[in-house]
Amino acid sequence: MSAQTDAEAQDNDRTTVATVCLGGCSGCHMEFLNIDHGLVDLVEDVDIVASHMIVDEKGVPEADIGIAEGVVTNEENVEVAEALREHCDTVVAWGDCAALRGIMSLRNYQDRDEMLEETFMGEADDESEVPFGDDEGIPKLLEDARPLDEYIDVDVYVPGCPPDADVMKESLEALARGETPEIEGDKLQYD
Amino acid sequence: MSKATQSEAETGVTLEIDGREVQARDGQTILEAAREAGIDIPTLCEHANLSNVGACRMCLVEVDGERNETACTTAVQDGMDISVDTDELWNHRRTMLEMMFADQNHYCMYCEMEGDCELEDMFNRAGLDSSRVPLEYPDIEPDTSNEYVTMDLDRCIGCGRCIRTCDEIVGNGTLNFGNRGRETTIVADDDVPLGESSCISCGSCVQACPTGALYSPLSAYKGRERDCEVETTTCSECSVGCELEVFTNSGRIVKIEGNEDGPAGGQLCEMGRFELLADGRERITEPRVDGETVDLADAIDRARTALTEANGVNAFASDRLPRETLEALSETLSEYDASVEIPGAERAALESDVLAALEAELDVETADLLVDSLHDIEDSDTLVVYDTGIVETHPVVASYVRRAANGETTLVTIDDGTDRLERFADHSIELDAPTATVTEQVTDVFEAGTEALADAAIEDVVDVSLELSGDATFVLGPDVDDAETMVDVFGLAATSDNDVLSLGPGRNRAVADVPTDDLEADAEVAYLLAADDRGEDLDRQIELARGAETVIVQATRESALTEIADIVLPALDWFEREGTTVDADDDQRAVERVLDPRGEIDSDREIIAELQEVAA
Repeated sequence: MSAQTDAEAQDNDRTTVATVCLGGCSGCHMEFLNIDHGLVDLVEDVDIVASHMIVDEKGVPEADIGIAEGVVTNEENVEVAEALREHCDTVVAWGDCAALRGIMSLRNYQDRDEMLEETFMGEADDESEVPFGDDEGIPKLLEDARPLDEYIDVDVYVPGCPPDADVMKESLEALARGETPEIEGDKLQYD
Repeated sequence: MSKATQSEAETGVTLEIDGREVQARDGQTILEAAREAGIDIPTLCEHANLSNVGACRMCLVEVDGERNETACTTAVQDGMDISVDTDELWNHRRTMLEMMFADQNHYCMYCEMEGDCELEDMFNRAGLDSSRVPLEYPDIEPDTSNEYVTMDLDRCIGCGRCIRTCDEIVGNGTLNFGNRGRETTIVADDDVPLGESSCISCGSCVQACPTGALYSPLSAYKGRERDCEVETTTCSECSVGCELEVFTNSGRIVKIEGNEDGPAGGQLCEMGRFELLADGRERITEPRVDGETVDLADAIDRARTALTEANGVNAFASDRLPRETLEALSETLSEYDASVEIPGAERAALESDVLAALEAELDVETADLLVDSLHDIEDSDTLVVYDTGIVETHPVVASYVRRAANGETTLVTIDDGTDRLERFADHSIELDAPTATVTEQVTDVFEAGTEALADAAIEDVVDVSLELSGDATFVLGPDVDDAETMVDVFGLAATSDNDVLSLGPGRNRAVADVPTDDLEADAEVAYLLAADDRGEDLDRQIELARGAETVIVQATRESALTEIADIVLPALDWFEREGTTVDADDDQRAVERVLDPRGEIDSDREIIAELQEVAA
């Protein structure tokens, strides 16, 4: 057997993981990178097939585990969340935004269009427009930002802003072993 | 049931809690029995010194395998079989927590209480990682109308601790539930902004709140309580002598809280909890002479020369200072041709003259005329308050008065201005006559019966006299400064075998032991030991400074006074001082150093002592 086929065989054994960033700040993904050297151990068991900071994959491929960071705040987020549910066996909500609404949902207390006006008007030149998302190119903001489970079924929640890197690693390892991660006590964070 | 009756009840009750046999006393709640046995039952709305209402349902326990009860409101019974830590009960608790989470806007990541929040701790214990209940996002405007207390109902879980604290501890009854039903919220008075309500800004509700719904902007985001060190000292703002628990982190004060095990039940007043922290004036760290920074030795030399060469010295000392500092000042001034004024000294002297005269005249012991302990006034059948200004000058005593009046005690208030306790008083006497006349009339009625007064207009006076048959306490406020009223009040107390609580304008009753004099009109030098004085005390010192040629000021912070001073010496701040203070019931209380001094000096007393060496 050649060395290459060995590697391929190993690839096939690994649990595939896809991560997506919805209406989030990428803070959860940054914290994921804080697993640091542990990532080297982690990729022995998992194959990260999509993750915007690690892998050059723009879509939502088929995967055993699908992880989402961020609230569902625009129409694209809905599509991505639904694709994640469709393409992945287990769906994980990473962070306070996806699990519990988080800081991004602070916009819910304001009128969407007024907020966009306020944010963009006067900031740029005469050529620029307020991105209401009525045209193609920019996804339209939903009326409210909502946590993931208001759109799709979520199997595992890892709250925290962001969750601790170790908790992310442990939960992923447990899922790769086919177990439900136990995140309780101090591992449950809300800040 | 009161604590006293509980401890008297010795009837033994045996019950089982989570499989453990627990001995309890008849009348105890399941929660109390469990705590004594070291068994933890989760709670949120329960709080030290407050009545239990079973609002949060965290303490839900299963009784005899057949029904669920709140442990905080259910009395123990012999043979009870209690379960606390079951999956089913934790499911109930988690559901309650999810509803609390969904109903309001809890954003832990930027809440000032994050890390200290009891709700967050409970989320952790219950394993709340998502909400099965749709989130509400109610649009709630935080109430920032009060300078020191912010009410952000986004984080309120309706536990009612603040309401019970305001009612049961402070006796003010400002906070209440409003908009009953699904929209129930905490409201101040008739749902007015806190800053426009009857709130006295004592902050006791802030201390009691388990979440970040009530917090002080003075302490917000300064650090978590769990990362703080706590030092206790005595408040310098009035003669009640409340114990301050000062929380510090990295040499900075985070917040001040009251001692929940003390007689005041954790309450402090606006002055002790907030104003001590809110002094934003620039700190004086270096000595100055004529506006130029100089060495401490040079500044002291200049001050000595001025004191020595003066034809007379008018001195003033802050009564916020500990006894030892005032004594050091007195000793230093004895070397010079100096007179000294200390706030409260005049009243203390008058009081001691009156008491001495009465002792001789009526054959009573002074000690028998004064209350033993100032919180004992709550046990009086009748409280007669002369000068309701105590609401502002001695707020914690005012709360004892309100608590008593809310209970069984008859409250009589006598004031020649606005009656600040009118809504709590049974008789509010507002006569044009000076308060002395009222007392004199009460004395007449008390001694000779109602026939002594024919005038129906003074019905109140008759009522008061009749009330005096029980156990009464007379509270003398700071504005009573005439010998007549004092003789009458102490005399009435002596003849009716009752006690007086004297709350003079002085913050430290040790001033009675420091000799003071009338100031000289033409003294050339003013030596003003201002410390962190402000308000009226500072105004008085500015007046003295204006009348002098050379002004020596020893102060903690910059002010209009230090601006006009020729020689400025740094002084310690309240949290840097050490010594003792004497409170209104004559107890010595320790003033402890909370933080090391920031300025150039380590002790006010050393500087004062150095000034004693008269210039050659």
